[in-house]
Amino acid sequence: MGWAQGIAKIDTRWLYLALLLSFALPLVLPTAIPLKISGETRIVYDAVEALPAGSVVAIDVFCSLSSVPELQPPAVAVTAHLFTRPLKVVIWALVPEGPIFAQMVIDKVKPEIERYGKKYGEDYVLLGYIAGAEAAMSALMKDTRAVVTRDQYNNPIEKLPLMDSVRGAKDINLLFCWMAAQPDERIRQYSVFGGIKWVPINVSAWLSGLRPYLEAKQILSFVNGLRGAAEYEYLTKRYSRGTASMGMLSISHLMVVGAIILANVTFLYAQQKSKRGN
Amino acid sequence: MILTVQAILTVLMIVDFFVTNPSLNELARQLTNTAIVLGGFTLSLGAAALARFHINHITKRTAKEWYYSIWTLVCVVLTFSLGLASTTPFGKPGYDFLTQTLLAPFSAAIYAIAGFCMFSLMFRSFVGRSVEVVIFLISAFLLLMKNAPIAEVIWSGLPIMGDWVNNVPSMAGLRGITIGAGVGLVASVVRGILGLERGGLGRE
Repeated sequence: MGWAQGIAKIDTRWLYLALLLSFALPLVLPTAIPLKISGETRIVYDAVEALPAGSVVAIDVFCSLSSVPELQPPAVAVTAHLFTRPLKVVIWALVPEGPIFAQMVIDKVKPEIERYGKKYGEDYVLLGYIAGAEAAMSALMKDTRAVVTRDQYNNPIEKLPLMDSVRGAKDINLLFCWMAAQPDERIRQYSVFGGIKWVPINVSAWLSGLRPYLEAKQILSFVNGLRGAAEYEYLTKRYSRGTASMGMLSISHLMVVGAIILANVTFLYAQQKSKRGN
Repeated sequence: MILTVQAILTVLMIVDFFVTNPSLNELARQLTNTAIVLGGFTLSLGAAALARFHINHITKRTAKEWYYSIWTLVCVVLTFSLGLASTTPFGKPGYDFLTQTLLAPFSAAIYAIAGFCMFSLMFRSFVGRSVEVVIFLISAFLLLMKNAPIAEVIWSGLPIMGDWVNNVPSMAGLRGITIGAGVGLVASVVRGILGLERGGLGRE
């Protein structure tokens, strides 16, 4: 068996091991890699910085827990930034797993909540899961109280002072959506119906799906997965998992590219050999 | 009768979007809230269907299935009970442990396994057998490099080329798909109003 055949028939477990090492080694032996800040991430950072004191920022959680490794770092980076500013934050979830994810992010930004003296009910609220998908979005834009009667911790909404001033789309100054899906429903409800400026914090796989809406100015911008997290962490100087993941992202991507090149070299070699043989 | 109600409600919701009339807007709001309540009930329906499916496996002792069904139902009951207790000081630690320490890493791990399979698949099948595949390979290479910070270190042109692939040909294709889907949605609504769209009622 020639070398080309040997590579082509390599045991899949060796490929898995190579990919695992490409993830693990950069985490064990971190290396600093220069990072260029994209225009999209900077727009989001600037938008948060430009919000006047007392502005309401809503967060819509629309992703399952399988997206936590990619979405938690950007969600934490942006939410931490929100809590460093005199803003009000309202979080709701439109998937059943959303409240768990929201709680995980809130736990991660506890240092900011404590340092800036943010109080639950006055400065931030977790509304929990709201059933109904697009109908729920539409209802939230019209009249928040008609949809939500109790928060994530079962407190009546009337006992949360922040919710007195958040009655619908007109009271929301900026909206983030942690999402691992196409944005179409949110374009209809948040952009068109609610007229809200909103920003997807998305998994990289959906980046292409957001582009047409960005060009049409139906979304303000986006924070793109782990890469976006690292950029946002650089802008806020709060270095965390996003920055730490950049080595892993680079090496694993190089591994994939290397594997594709190797597969093609092997294929071309085998093709040439077969032509010569004929 | 159902088709007539469907047509009237569809027209009403469309008119509500364009017209400001307190009575009409209130009616539309109530209808939206009804849809949310129905959405909540679908969760119960899902739970009932899941229970029925697995109880069936257990009672019939389906080979290589029934013991997994028991485990599934145990997990459902446990999660449901801890969820109910999560607002109490006694139940919260248990619920947090279940969701944040077990459910989140397990969900992420299952998702991540797909990455390994895709890597193996790419190695086996991403070979330039035709012009179309070569174009696909170049696009994939540039998009991978666009997202990896190390690409900038290798050659500053790589992320620029990746951005171009994402912002020009990819976006053009997606625009076509989005506009096509939008036109299809409008056509579907018109068919619904005219009573021609009967798939949701289980009819041809």
